[in-house]
Amino acid sequence: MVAGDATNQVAQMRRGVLPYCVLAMLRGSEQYGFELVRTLGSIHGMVTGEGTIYPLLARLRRQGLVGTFWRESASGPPRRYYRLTETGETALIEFTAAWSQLRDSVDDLLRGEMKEGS
Amino acid sequence: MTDDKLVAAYLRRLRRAARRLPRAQRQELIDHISEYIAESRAADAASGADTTAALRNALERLGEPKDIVAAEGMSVPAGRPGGLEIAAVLLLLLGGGVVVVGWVVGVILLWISPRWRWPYKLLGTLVWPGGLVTVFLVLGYALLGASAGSCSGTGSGGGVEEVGVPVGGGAPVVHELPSSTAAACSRSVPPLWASIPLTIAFAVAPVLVAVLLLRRTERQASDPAEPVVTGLAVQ
Repeated sequence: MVAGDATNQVAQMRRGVLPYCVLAMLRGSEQYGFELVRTLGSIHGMVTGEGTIYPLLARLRRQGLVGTFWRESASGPPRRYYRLTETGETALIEFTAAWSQLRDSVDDLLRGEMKEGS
Repeated sequence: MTDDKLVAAYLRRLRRAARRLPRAQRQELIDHISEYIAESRAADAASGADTTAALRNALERLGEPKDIVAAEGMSVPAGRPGGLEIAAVLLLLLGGGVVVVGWVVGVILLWISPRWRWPYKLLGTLVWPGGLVTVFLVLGYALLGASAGSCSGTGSGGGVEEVGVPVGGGAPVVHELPSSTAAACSRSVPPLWASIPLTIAFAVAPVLVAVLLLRRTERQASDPAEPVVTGLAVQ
């Protein structure tokens, strides 16, 4: 780890959590690909190109964490929708717990609150 | 450039960047990106905006094709050949035999395997039909023919005789042999300096093709080599 490397490190972390962000977006609501990708793409700094989300979606589908289905659209050709599977739901719950714990620990360390050994 | 041409050019670049992905994965990616572009164009057309500017913007949001392909998460190593692929290559190389069945089975396996692209399948079929057995047969025949040609002329009357088979499998050369002259026969053999490199190339080609085939087996979409999403190990 060197000075100036932090941006790089954070980019890698972001790549690591991106799959769970996708799962989280699908919690409770199905979305079609374009909508999902546009929303993720408009979150600042989340992805570099919106096209890079499709390989991720395909991977999540192959791993059984999301499912896809087609639905007619009022304004054009049918749309490919994504929804969370049960496995995806479980993965998301596990991640949520782990993430909260990690985030709290890191925040505490960064704020210097654990120096006193509380 | 018209909007359609912009899209076609973008998809062409994507297809080129994705050419090493397994076929199914490549097609899926191209389908998804095409859907994105279609949705985006439909939305822009409905809003009445300048479609070309909006399209350029959408393609920019999609990002560089090579970055998208890179997000497939692999440098796409040539996958390890499986049992079927190894059997195919061995049969192609050695299966010629007296009965050509082995080689034919090799060709069938070669074309059945989902892990070679068609140019490689074609190459494996054409270099050479019968594999190494063909090489030995042709070379043996050429040698025999050459030696027969250089010494069988003595004493016989003038006649027509087959002498050797040119390397590369062309039609046998038919020579008129003048009577009682062994010296004339040796003239009909192709010069040594020319035939040696050709012979080597001819014999080595199927081996090179076999090695190439084994190195060019592609990954299958179902290979478990991709990163699996797991929870963070925090505890």
